[in-house]
Amino acid sequence: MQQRQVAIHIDQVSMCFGQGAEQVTALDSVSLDILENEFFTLLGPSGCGKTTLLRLIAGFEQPTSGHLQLYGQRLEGTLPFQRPINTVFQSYALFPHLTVAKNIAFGLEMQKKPQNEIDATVEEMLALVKLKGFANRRPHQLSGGQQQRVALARALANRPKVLLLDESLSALDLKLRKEMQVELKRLQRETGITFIFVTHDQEEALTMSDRIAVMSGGVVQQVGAPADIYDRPVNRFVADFIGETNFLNAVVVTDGFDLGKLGTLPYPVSKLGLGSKVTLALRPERLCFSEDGLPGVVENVVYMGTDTIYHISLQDQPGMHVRLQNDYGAQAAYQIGNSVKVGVLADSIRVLED
Amino acid sequence: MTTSVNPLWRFRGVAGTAWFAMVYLYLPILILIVLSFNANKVATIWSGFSLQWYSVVLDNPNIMRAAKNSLIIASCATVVSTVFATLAALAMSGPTFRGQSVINAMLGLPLLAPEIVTAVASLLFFLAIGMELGLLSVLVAHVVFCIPFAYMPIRARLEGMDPRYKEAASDLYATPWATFWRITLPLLMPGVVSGAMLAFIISLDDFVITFFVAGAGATTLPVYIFGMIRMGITPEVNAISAMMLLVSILFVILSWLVGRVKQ
Repeated sequence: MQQRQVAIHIDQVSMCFGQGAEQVTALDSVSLDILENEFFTLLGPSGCGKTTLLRLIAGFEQPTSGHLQLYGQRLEGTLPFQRPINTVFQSYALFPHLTVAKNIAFGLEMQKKPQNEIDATVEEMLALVKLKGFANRRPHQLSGGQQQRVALARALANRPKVLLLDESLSALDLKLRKEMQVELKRLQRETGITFIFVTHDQEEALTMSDRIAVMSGGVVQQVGAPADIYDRPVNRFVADFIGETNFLNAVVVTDGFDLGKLGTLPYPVSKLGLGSKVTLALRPERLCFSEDGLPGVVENVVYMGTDTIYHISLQDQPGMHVRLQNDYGAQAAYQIGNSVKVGVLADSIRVLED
Repeated sequence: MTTSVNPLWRFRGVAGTAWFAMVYLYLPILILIVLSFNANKVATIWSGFSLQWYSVVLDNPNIMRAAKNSLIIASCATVVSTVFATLAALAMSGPTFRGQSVINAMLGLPLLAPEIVTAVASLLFFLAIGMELGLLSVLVAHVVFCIPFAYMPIRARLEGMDPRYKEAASDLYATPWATFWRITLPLLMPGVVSGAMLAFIISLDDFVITFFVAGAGATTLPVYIFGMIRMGITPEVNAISAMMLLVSILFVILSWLVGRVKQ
């Protein structure tokens, strides 16, 4: 496979706000490489530094230390209007006194492109975001979804090397958001522009991204493809933040994990230190009920349509959720108060070292 | 949409109090307008409808000269003070600097200072620097007290402006200069227009300061009316006052229309 170029190179970037005792570290020595033509997502809870990182790439802030490169060129000291990077803001920030067409043309006019080229690009962009016929409307005459698409068109009209999207779908209702997720992915494929998308919505990140960086406390916790992050989380934060996870506290013994009163869970522990404490992460949908499983009691049964989630209490351990797919017309397999045994397959266990 | 009734109306006496307040505010003005159409030579005794006092006013060269002075001063003071106020508001909304809150307070101070003090101070200042009292001295004094009135709506408009617009412009390759002309100023315009209208009306209406610093030949309309009234209230005074009121109302309507168009 051909080696893809690095679009954005982030090298040990730190960002602090405030001074003295009130100083807050928003980013702590973050290093990342974002590739050409990639749909890259910065995912994390609010306050994790993802938006700060985006603002550093756009040039609205300058890093306290470290540096950024765009296709090998250092970005420090350049202002936003000097960078071939465009942003889709969370609130869209469409200029209220300009028409849709004038909003889309703004960046091109500022770059002093010839008028016929501007007109052609505006037409093309309106078609791309399916807003033909809306050219002369004002932003306030559009719905939230339409404004969102104008904001996208305004940024894409400049053919930026990198497009930044700051929580750009969060203001839309669920149905529109799902549509726009597909739409964004399509636009990214069709334009071949590197997209850097910021979100706190893990589902959104998993559906759209080529790669995801999970952030927390100003630090990148893990970078990888959606399946990598979901199936092989590197630590408890990632396992907990992405999807639903059950955690068991265990001690490594010769033939598996000692779970206290629940007994021993067999596992090939050759690579782990005997006697060390570990956390086992188990996805609810990878569990089942079986005769030789861990004994527990059904505390709650939650019917979800496609699935049913059983809340199981265990001795010595935090409770677990088991998610089973429903057969058409079938009754729930267990009721509240039933004693059950939760079957754990060795290959569904993710071991997190403490 | 349902139209909701203000729950205040449920209390007894609210309607009565509201009517009393409206009458208290507007009855004197109404009486003045009615009496300006009075045919009688004695201003307060009604003897029939007539427009004669308006024609008397329009034929009086002294009144027309005073009106011309008033308009010249109000227009110039409006332009100069609005430019100053806009620049001040832009500076105050930029990055914070040392002494910002002190300067902000000082910008508003002329609103609180007793007008007579400002008037005496202005007069002393002009005498001290040896400036001849005339249209120019009135203009300078007017610019000073018009600035805070023009400043307030502009500042309020700037404060309410989403900083993302400037960031978006900058993101879309606009230099700071282009951002100002293409984005900040157009978005600020309703504030600038209201500030200018306010400054114009305040200047047109000023008496105390003008009375002190206006030399011969720089008499404005309020100062002229004061001079007339010392001879007794004539229907002529009523007619001028009604005409000044009309100009003020026109301005209020104009500023309301400008606000609507910008929406």
